Amino acid sequence: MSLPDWLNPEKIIPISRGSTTVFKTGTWSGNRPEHREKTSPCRAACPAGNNIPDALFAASQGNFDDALSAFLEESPLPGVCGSVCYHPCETYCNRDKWDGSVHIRTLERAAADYGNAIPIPLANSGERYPVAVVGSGPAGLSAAYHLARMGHPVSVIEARDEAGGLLRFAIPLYRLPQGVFQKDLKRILSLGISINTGEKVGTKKLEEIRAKSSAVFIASGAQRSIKAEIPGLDLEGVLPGLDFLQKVRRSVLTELPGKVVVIGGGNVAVDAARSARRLGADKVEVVCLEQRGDMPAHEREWSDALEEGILFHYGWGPKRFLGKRSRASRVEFAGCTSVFDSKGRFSPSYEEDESLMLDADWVILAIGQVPDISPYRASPLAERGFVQTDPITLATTWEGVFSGGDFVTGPRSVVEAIAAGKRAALSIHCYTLGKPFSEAEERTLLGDGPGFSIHSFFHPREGWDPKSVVRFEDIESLCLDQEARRSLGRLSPVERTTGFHEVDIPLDLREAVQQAGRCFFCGTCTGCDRCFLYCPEVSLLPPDENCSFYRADDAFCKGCAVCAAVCPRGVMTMGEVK
Amino acid sequence: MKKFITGNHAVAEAVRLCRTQIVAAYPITPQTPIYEKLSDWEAAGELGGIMMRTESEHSAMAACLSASLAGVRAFTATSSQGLALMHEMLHFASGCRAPVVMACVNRTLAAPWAFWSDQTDSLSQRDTGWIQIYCEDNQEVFDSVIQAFRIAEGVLLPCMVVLEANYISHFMEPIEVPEQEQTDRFLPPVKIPERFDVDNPSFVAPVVSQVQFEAFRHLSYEAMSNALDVIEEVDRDFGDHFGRNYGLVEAVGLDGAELALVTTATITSTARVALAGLREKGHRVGLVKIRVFRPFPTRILREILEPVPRVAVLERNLSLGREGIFCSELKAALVNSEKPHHVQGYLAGMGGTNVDPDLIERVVIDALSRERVSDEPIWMMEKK
Amino acid sequence: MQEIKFHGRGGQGVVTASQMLGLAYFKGGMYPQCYSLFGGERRGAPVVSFLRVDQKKILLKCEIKNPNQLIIFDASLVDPDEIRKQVVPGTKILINTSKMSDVIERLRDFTVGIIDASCIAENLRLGHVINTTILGAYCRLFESLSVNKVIEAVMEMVPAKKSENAKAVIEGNNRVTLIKGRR
Repeated sequence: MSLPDWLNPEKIIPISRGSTTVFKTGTWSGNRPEHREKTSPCRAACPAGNNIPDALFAASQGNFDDALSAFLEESPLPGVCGSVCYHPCETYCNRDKWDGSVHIRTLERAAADYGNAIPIPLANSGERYPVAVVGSGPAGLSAAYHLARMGHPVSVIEARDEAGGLLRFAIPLYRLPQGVFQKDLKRILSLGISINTGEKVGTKKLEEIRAKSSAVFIASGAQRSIKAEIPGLDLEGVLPGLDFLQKVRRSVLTELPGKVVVIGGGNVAVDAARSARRLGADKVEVVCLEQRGDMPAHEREWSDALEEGILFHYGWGPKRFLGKRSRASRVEFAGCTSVFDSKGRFSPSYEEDESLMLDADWVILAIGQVPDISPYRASPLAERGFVQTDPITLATTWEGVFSGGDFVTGPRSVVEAIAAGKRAALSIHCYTLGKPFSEAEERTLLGDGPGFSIHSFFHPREGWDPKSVVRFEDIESLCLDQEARRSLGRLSPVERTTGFHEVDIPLDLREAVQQAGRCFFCGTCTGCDRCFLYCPEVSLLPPDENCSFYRADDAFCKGCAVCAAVCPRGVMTMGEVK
Repeated sequence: MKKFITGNHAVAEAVRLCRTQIVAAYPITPQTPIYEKLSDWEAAGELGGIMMRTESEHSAMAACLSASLAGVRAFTATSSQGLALMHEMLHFASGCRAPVVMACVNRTLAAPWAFWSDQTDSLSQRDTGWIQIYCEDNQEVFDSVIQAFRIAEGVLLPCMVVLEANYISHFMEPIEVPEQEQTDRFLPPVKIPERFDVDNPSFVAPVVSQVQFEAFRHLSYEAMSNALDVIEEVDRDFGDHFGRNYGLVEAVGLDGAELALVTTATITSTARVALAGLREKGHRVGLVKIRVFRPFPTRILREILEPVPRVAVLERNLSLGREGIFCSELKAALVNSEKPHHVQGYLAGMGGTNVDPDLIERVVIDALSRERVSDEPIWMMEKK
Repeated sequence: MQEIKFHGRGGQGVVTASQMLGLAYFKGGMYPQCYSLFGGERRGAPVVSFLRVDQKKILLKCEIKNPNQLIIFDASLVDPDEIRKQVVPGTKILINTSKMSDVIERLRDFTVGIIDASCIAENLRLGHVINTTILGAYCRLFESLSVNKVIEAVMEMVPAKKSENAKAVIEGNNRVTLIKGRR
């Protein structure tokens, strides 16, 4: 039976069985999405330029070997940084604007704890130049590590009997367990770096080394405690801050009976006070020039110290040490009205009428540390009384000699020292090859710098724009869950002060995977396929054997920007047809 | 078997007996009990089909339309604002020739906000290309839903069964509910075009040219015209199966009548009582019930009203700026009659107010005694 | 045709009462038609329900204005003037109250059935739901329906406490007081 037209299924409604592929709609548009990876704000904020998104993505998949490998791209000391870094990354984390930043520092530590990885070699020209590094603190180790990855033979000279500088002899164990540092150190040395310990370097020695090497990097740190001209300084029981910390780390001092007064408002002072507490001091008091809000010590260290029962006196400067039978017994302080002069220079002024008298069996003087350039007195390095370097290349005025870290800047953080070592390594590499460093730096600068990626200089990442930093506004928040930042496990103040146990309890494996999963992976494609799935024209092609990233099919892409709008991490970006 | 149930419940019973495969709906007073009853049955595993709880009536109709294009028997129910929100998709369903069936419970459209009977919501959908059947009691609603599936699937156009808020939706009355086998014998399993075939992919309803659009509209017009015959045939066959039928229109006592009172929906039922009384008193008045509004039964209305000089249309709806909508439609249907008619419009029951035999009697007396027909409708207002 | 009007408050089971009574008549072979008007569906708000019963199909699709049976669930809703306006000659009124003399005084024109349904329901742990007690009393007052038909409908429709509700019907039927009016 034949149907009338008005009932004929093939006639009553329009149905197209042709293909719209005949319409090359892509040729009508001038816009094209580009797969443009960008830099995450955490990475841009990290002085070491750590590849945090790749590391945390691997961790979120439970792959801590790859997580560690990603951290090792830029830094030799993930275990150390994962324990002690003041984590500017977390301050700039985009998730902070959502429901609390990701626990990046603790996850770096988890990568170091649970992962095993060999640092990826940095492809090199095949030419090998011997380089000497003076000092095995974080700056020296960092320079040695990266230079060795490039294939250069590196020898490290260390004045002390063991490598590590302040990592080994200053930072208290409750912040950095020895095993964590040793694991990092072992990995660094596995690159074939030789370390000569117990060898002091001065002008003469440096000349010798220079003659045998293509370049030298001096990273001797800032280890000389400032000694103020205060009456009674030589009394027994008065100790410089770094010396005190070193004695504790060497187990020379294992107990500290009596009352302890620590002078100074910086991190060394707080480390000293908290160590004194753990050595069984009856009373520990910290006295500093600054008012509470102006103390240079990190907030967290200060509040931990308070919890541990340490008393703080703000706005006092030491006037004199009083003793009994050549041993310190009291300290007198004068009220400090201002720390800096009108030009911002350190120049405390006192109100002599006001005074504070504290009983003290021990006085730890931690009022600052400076580089000790006395060994180089007769060299071009010491011409100006301090080591002068080019801030970009870290070259000193002495041809072939580079310097960086605390030795140049005065005391800074571990991560800044690591950054200086990395900068020196690439700078020296360029110097030995006779190439300008500024070009190399320019290519890999993260955001506005000064951090850069040494790894991507040797292994360029296709489709990555390192200078472009992902803002929170670039994150597609519709796909985000709420999972607030959790506070992590810590020892109670009582547990802490019975010994030098690590205060922050490391993440267990399951927790680490979970916390890593909170990362937005800003600017880094995780292959989530949203752009591919949402493309209304099915014209966004996923990676395949020919191409490692998502790209538009020029024949059909209308440039509608849906892919860019749905990208959760700001990778897909609209551009123009090339 | 006989059941003592509400009109809403009757709709749900019919939908289940028709082996409806998908119900996509959104709750709205006074339709909600239909949705609830079907949901209860689904939860108890007694529905057969599936319920899809959409986020709006617009989506409900989109879902029904899509399901229908996939060859599935689809149903929805709504009212008032919900129907207005669905409006765009109503055009889409008829344009796609999707035989979706809907129960529309007539309710006032805001503003002001109210819940009671008023036909303006469904009549506002006059031009969407849906078949519309207006029912006067619970039994007719039940029977019309069953008929609607056969009509819609027979002409490939969607069909709306209209029942009034309160007077049907919430009135409990005894109705006859047939056995499943009996219903199955009347309504065969669904057999409509399946538009989604993964082996032969197609794009349904793509953009067309001006000429193509006109041609598709003409085919839809032919389908709607032919629907008049199909509705009558389905109704006759329903009568053979169940012993009840309704026609496109129904005429009562028109022989020798001086006046025909034209009504729809529940006013018809009450008017049967009022007119019986009036005829007993000697008034020559007959009753015409318009059951099917789209397609409009023009020819049959003209035939049965041919010998009746006066016509009064009493209705519960209003097209502002004109008059009652059935009145306008009827006037248009009669305009080419041999003899001119006097057609007077009356408005009553607006917003669900009471239309009782007294009121209807007053309408009839007015229409019979009126010397001049007014072009304006006459409002039979409730006091207060 | 009987036209029955129910007055009560939300929470007393007024709507269900009209439906159960309709069902009871339906089971008895009659044609009932039942509906309700709500102000707001909440406890305490006045509720009105309607029931028509006839032997043949009821065509009226309009409100009951002049009931010949009136059932009042809450005596505070009784306004004799209002009742006089509505009722037709011979209308009987069933009323739930504990203050019999008060009601007799106010409704002396009417034949009234008085039942303290709240007390009975309370004793049967039915709370404010007095509808089944009222229906029991209804059978005695109006004599147009057997108690068994009402119990059958109650058993089919009440969602819980079936035996308590059946007892309520019987109690209501036993304890209603009839007073012949003057009209």
